[in-house]
Amino acid sequence: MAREGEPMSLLAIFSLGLGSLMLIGAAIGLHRFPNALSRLHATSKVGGMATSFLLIALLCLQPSLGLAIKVILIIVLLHLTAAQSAQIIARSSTSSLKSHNDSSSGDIK
Amino acid sequence: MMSNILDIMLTFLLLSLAIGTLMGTIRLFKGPSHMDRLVALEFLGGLSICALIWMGLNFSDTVVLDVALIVALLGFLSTCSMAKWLERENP
Repeated sequence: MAREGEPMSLLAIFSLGLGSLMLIGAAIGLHRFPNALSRLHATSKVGGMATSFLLIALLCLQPSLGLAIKVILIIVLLHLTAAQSAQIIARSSTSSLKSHNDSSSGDIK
Repeated sequence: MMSNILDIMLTFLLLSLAIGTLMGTIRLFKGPSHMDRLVALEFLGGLSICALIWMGLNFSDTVVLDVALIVALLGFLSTCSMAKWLERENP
């Protein structure tokens, strides 16, 4: 499995450890941060980076062109969708908060 | 020796996946607002992609990357639809 050469295997081990540490950091941030927006901040950034590092480790252990294309595709898609989904979640929460304050201040509806 | 360290790192990755799943599930059941539960669901979707990559690393099988791509797309779609539903219904 790790017979491809020492530098690639070393890079895979480093990337695997970094991805695992980021995963644990995201989990602790999700569990211990005080409000919902900071929890969203923790998971949306660190989760995407952890998945990217694990994909790089997989690419370093089995290097081929088709796998590289798939890995780059998944990493680009993951970062685009992480930003979009975090923005959509934050906007839905703030708009619901604002309309809740409006409906509590005056009963126009 | 390198393969030995790699096995240890794979076990560490499995442990961190277990910790992440535990804390995400706790937040999913305990979260005070709907947004906390949505964030926890998105995090668990990311963890499922990481678990698929662990399968590809451990069994030396790269066909799981196609599954990971589909899971990432479906996770984004479900997060968007849930957030739109939360924004419209205002529960």
